[in-house]
Amino acid sequence: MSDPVFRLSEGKVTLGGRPVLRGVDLVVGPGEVVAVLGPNGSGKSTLVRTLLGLVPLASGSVEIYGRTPQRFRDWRRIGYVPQRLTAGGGVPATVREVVASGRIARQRRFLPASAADRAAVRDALAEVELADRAGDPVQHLSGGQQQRVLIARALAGQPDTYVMDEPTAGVDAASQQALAASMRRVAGEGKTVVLVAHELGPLAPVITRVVVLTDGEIVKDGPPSIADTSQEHCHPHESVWP
Amino acid sequence: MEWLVDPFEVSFVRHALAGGILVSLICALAGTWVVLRGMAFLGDAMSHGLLPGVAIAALLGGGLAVGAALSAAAMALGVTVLGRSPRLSPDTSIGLLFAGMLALGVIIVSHSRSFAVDLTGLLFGDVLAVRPEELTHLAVALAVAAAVSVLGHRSFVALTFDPRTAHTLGLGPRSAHALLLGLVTLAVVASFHVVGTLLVFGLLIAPAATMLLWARRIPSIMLGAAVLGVASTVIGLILSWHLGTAAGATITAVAVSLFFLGATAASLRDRLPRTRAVTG
Repeated sequence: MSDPVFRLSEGKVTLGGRPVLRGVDLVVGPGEVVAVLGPNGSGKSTLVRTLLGLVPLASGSVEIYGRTPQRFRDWRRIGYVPQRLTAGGGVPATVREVVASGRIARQRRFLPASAADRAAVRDALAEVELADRAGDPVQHLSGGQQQRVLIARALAGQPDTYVMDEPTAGVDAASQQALAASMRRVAGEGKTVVLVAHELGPLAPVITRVVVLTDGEIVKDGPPSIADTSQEHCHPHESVWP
Repeated sequence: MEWLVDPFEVSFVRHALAGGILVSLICALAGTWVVLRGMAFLGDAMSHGLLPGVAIAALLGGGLAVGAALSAAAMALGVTVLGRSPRLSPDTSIGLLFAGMLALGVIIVSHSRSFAVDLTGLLFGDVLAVRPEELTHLAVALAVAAAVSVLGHRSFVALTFDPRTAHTLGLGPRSAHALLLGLVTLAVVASFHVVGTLLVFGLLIAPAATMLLWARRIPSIMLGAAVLGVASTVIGLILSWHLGTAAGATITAVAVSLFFLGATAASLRDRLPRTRAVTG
C-alpha cells in the first residue's frame, strides 16, 4: 500500500512559549480534498505549515509521502500556496518570474527553461487570468491578484498535492471565483488538496473531508456535512487564548 | 573635449579604464543580488576580509587573487559556521569576523616591514597599475559571473523572494545561498585591485542601489547598474587625472555620488504625482 500524502502523529507545536498544536493526529490520503476549518488562532495555518516542515515540532512526528520533511526531496509533488506574498524588501520580481519559480523542482538545476516549463507557466497564468500582467512586478498587483500569482506558481509545478493556506482570505470576488474554478479542476483530476479556510463557500462541492480545529486540537473530522454544525462553534471573533 | 580625452591617451590609464569597466560589469551582476537580498553588510565584510590573504600572498610573492580568494573562502566559512548559533544574530558574527580579519591583515602587513607590501595599495586599490594580463583575468571573471547569474537566476529569484518557503519549491536554499556567496566573492576578489579592499563595497552596491530606486525588473537593475558603474569609472578616471586625486577612491566617490543624485531625483519623482493629486 502506498504511503499517505501527510502523516502527522501526536504533533505538538509551541510558538513563543504558547502551545499552538496539542498533540494532533492527521493522515491525509491521496485524492482527498481536505478543508481545515476553525476559529482565528485555532492553529489551522500552523497545522498545514507543520505538515510541510515549515514549523518545527516540539514533539511528535510528521511525514510527507513517507519521509520526514528534512529527508523529503520530491518537492515536485507538492504545491504550496502561502497565506500571503512575503516579498521581503521589495524584490522587483515579475509575475512571470514568481510563477516560473514553481517549476524549480521539475527542472535540472542549471539548465534553461524547457518548452514544457514555459507552456506550464503560460497555462497557469492563463488559468488565473493574469496572462496580461506577466511582465509586471508583483508588488504592483492588488492583494487578490498577488494571491492568484501564488496559486499560479503552485499550478505551474503540476504537483500531486496542493497545500493552500487561506487562499481566499481578503480576496476579491473575481479572484475567489478563479480559485474555485482551479480547485474544481485539480480536484477533478484526482489531486490531493489540503486547504485552510474560514468557510467552505464556493469550494464546498469539491471538498471530501472537513477537519475542524479548536484551540490546537482536532475536534471534528469527517464528511463536509459536519461543517454546517461546526460553524456555529467557530465564530471568527471567539478568542481561544486565555 | 580634449579635457575628456587627454587622460586616455596614456596607456596605463587606458588599461585602468578597461579594468574598471570589466570590474563594474562584474559588480553590477553580483551587487544587484547583494542589494536585493540584503547582504550588504556581508558583502562589506567579505571585501575587508580579503586583506589577510592578500597580504600573505604579497609577502610570499604569490598571486594576490589566489590569496584574496582563500581569505574570502575562510570568511564565508566563518560566517556560515557562526551563523548556525541561535544565540548570535548574523550581523554580530559578520561584524566580529570583519574586524578580526581586517586587524589580522594590518598586523601581517605591519610586521612584514617590507616595501613589497603596500598597505595603502591593498586598502584603496591601485587601478593605474592594472596590467594587460590582469585584464584577461578580469574578462574570465566576468564570463564566469555572467554564467552564474544567468544559470542561477531562477534559484536566486526564489531564494530572495521568499527564503522561508524556498525549500517547498524544491530549491536547496543553502546551496543557492552558497552560489550567491560565491558570486559576491568573485566580484570582490576581482575588484579589490582596482578600488582596494576598503572601497570595493562602494562599487559593488552603489550602482545597484541607485537602480533599485528606478528600475522595475531585476535584469533592468543589472543593466542600469552596469551603465552607472562604467560611467563612474570613466568620470572617476577623468576627474582623478585632472584633480590629481587617488583614482580608485575617485571612482568609488563618483559611484556613491550618483547614488545620492539618483535617490534625490527618485524622492522628487515620488512627490510629484501627489502634488498633482492635491492640486488636481
